[in-house]
Amino acid sequence: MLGHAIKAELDVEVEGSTVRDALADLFEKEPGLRSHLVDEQGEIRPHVSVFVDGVQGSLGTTVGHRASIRILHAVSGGSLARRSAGYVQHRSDLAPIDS
Amino acid sequence: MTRIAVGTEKGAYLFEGSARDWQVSGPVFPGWKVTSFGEAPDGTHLAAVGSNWFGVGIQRSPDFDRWEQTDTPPTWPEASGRKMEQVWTFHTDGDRVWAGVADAGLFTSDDGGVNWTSVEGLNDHRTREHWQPGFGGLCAHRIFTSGERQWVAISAVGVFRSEDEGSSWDPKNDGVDAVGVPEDAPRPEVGYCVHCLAQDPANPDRIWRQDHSGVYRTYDGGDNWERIETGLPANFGFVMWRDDSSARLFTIPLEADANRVPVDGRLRVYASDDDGDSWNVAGGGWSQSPQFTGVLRGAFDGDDEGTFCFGTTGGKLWLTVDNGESWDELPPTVPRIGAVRLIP
Repeated sequence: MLGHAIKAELDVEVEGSTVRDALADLFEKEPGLRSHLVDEQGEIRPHVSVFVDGVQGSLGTTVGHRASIRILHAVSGGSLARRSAGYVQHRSDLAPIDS
Repeated sequence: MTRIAVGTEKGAYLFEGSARDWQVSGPVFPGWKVTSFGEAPDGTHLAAVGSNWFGVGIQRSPDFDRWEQTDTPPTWPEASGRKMEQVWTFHTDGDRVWAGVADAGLFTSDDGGVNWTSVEGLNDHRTREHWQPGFGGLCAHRIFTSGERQWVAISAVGVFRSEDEGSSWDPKNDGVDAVGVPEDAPRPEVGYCVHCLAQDPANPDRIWRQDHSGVYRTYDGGDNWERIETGLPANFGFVMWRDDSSARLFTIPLEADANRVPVDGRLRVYASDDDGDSWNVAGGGWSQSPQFTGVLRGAFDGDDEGTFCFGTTGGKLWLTVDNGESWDELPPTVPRIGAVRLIP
């Protein structure tokens, strides 16, 4: 869903030792993503999840060298089968990341 | 060839055609709610998009085909505690674009919608702690400007007027019933659920109002409002439109707040040719089968040359090209419609 908000590629290489730092670098490269991923208080939006090397994290999560960060939005409602399909179709892979 | 941009719950669609021959392209911004269309001073098209997950965005396009998102949509400051939930309307006057948003407030842009500045005189108004949302949220959805004077409609707060280019604002709702307030209770300063406004640009003191509590007009810029409901089957609804070339008013009555569909399913536009003194069904062509669907405030547009269109919550688009004398339901069906714009 965020494709139209990104000027370059869905995969973005960023720097930072935490998710917070990595997102800050991401927003330098793709400023249009800031308001979509964090709220007015600078927190990750309620229905947005961040995974670091496959494990759900938060802004304070440490990001290792060449870690992969994936940013996905939550999907709710519908049947399990449809939910699964929607998850694949609508996920926003912004990941990864050499840090 | 008529071109109509349609904003829905799931993307925007472009209708192009005439008579019964219509082509539809889209969706643009699939999965995103498209909440409003506008036009920058240089003619660039604007679209407001929103998502339950990703907040709001402002899109710009030279041709309704190629779109680019701006980097900095209207945003509330961290200390405000407010959430930017939706951009409800754009209004362009000279070199300035105004945006009405929810949580309710106004922003202005002097660079065609790229960067936005909070209108603090309204957004930090002394009455703000008493502002309460309507069913559609706490939203600023109509903006008028005329020189140093501005008007804004906020649901469910009321109409405010500024005499100093937006520096200060005063509530202007005398004569309008406040929803949920007993008749013998003191009139509140805010708490008026305005649904839509239309203004006479030649005489900006003349404003018509579809409110939660009824249909009203003012001839003094909002200082005093009076009911104008003769001929309407219901006084609830969300549309108020004035065709400036013919001075004809349009509204689309819905049964009531508890049942937001046309009375008996008779979806009809009502028109007034006497400034609201009386209302009648506008023309013909209406479906003879019941249409239990609603029409939202942003889903009516006109070009002042006799072409008007509106979209329904059922995803159908209705069009007249003869100033409301005959109406056609266009064949395509799209998702729930919240915004419509005739493209010049």
